[in-house]
Amino acid sequence: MDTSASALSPAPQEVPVRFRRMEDHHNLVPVHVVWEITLACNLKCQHCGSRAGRPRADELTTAEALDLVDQLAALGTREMTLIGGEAYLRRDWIDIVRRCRDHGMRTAIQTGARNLTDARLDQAVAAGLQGLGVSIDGLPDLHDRVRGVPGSYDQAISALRRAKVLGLDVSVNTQIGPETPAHLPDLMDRIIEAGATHWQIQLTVAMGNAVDNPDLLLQPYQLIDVMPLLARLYQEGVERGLLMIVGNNIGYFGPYERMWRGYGDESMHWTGCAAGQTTIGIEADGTIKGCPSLATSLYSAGHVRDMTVEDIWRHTERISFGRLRSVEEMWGYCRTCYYADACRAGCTWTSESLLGRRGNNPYCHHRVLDLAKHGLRERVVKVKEAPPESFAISEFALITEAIPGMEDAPPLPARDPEHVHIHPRERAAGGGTTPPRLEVCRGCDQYIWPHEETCPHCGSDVAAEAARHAEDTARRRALIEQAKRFLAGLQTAGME
Amino acid sequence: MSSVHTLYGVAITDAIAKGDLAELKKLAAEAEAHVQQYGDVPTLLTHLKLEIAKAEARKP
Repeated sequence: MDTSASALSPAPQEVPVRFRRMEDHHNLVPVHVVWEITLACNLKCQHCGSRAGRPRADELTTAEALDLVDQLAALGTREMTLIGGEAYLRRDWIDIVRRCRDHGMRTAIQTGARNLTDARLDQAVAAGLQGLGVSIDGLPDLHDRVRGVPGSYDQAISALRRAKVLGLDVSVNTQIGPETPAHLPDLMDRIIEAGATHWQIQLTVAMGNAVDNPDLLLQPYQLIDVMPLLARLYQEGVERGLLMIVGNNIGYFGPYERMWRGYGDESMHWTGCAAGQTTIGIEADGTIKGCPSLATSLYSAGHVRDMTVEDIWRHTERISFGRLRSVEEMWGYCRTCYYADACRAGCTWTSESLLGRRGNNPYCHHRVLDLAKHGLRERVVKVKEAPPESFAISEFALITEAIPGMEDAPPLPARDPEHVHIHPRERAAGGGTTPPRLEVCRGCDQYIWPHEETCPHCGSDVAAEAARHAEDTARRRALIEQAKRFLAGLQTAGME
Repeated sequence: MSSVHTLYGVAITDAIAKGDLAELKKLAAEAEAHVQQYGDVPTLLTHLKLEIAKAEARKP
C-alpha cells in the first residue's frame, strides 16, 4: 500500500483542516474532536439526545481538561468543536479554548446561544476562538417551541450577527423534522442576512428527548420530498454565498451525492461512518467514544481518568468497531444494497438509535427512491421508551408498506447478499485502512464501483461515457482558462 | 480526500464550493460585471466598424 500521501493529496494548508488525507486513515489520526465540556444547558430542547440540563456529577477538572487537550494534540487532532450542554456555562471554557489554540487546533463552539453575552464572545475571541456555530431549527415559532425557551430564536440570530462583527467564522446547524422543510427557504434568507457562510443540515435522531417526542422525527419516506428541496437550496446557497453542508445522516448515493458531498468535487463521496477512525467524541466526565452522539451504554470506550486517550483510541474494542466491521454485520435492505461496502449503512448513530442495531438505515435517499420504484415506502413507529439517561436509545419498529395508489408497481426483486461487491481493504502499519473510492457513471451521474464496465444503474458503456465526459471537461476547462486570461487582461488594462 | 460532518459538531467553515460549474458561474459573473461597468465590447466594435464603413463609403 502506498503511504506516500503527498503524491495523492494536496498539502494540508491547501484544504480544510477537517478533510481527511490518506495518512490520516492509515495512521488513525483523530482529526476532528467534538467535546461536550459540560452537560449544563440553559435551553430545554425537545430533541436533545444527551438530555442536557444539569452538569454531570463528575465533570473533568480544569487540570484534567487541559491535559486532555494536550493528549489530543499529541495524537494529531487538527480541529476541536466544544459543545455542551452549553459550552460557555463551564467556568473555565476560555482556558480550554486557549489551550486548543496554543496547539494550533482550529477551534469553534456549537451553541444554542442563549445568554451568549458580548462579554463572553469578547473573551472567547481574545482566547483565539475561530468559529461559532449556532443551532437554529426553524423560524421563530418552531425554533422556540422545539428549543423550549421563548425568545431563543432572536438570541440565536443576534449571536450570529455579533460573532460576524467580531470576525468569527459563522455557521448554522439545523435539524430536520417533519415541520422543518417548510421553514427552510425563509430560514436560509434570514441566516444569510445574519452573516452565516455555512449551513449544516441534519436529520433529528431518535435519541434521548427525541424519543419522548417522536413527532419531531421525519419519516424515512418523507426524504423523497425533502431531498429535492435541500438540493434546490444547496444550489441557491452557492449562488448567494452560503454553502450547505450535508451532515453525516443526510444521504446516501442518491442523485445529489456528487453535487454536495464534496461541494462540487465529485471525487468526494460518502465513505461510511467515521466514528473511531478519524473522529472522537468526549463526554464531560471524560468518557471517550468514537463519535459524540453514540449511545454511552454501547460505545463508552474508556475514561481519561483510567487510561490515556492514546490507549483508548488505539486499543479499545468499542472505539475500533468502525475499523473492523464488514458488510457481514449489515442487515435488511442495506445488506444487499449495491453500495453496501462503501456506505456501511450510513450514520451509525442514526440507524442504531432507531432500530437498536447498527447496519440498516432507512434514512437513505437511494433506498427511498428504489423502494418507491417498486411501490413501497418505510415508516417508523416507537415501540419502546428510552431510559432517562443521557444519550439513551429506545427502539422503533420499521414498517414497509405499499405507497397508496402504487399497488400495481413491479415487486422489489430479491437480491443475493453474496453478490454485494466487497472492497479489498489492506491495513496500514498504523492500523487504519483507506475507504473505497467510487467513480461517477457519466451516463447517469450515479456513483459506481471502479470495476464496472456497464453501468448497473443506466446500462451505459462506462468507458464510452467517460470518454465523452472527458471531451466535455477539456472543452469546459479550456473555456475557463480563456475566460480567466481575458478577465485578467481587462483587470490589468483597467489598472494602467 | 474526504470530509466528515459529525452531527453534534460545528459546520465546517473553511470549505468552499468547487468544480467547473462554480468556476464558470464565478467567471460569468465577473464578465457580466465588466459589461455592466464598461459596456459590451463586441457590440461596441460592431457599431464602430459600421460607422467606419459608412464614413469610408462617403469618401470622395
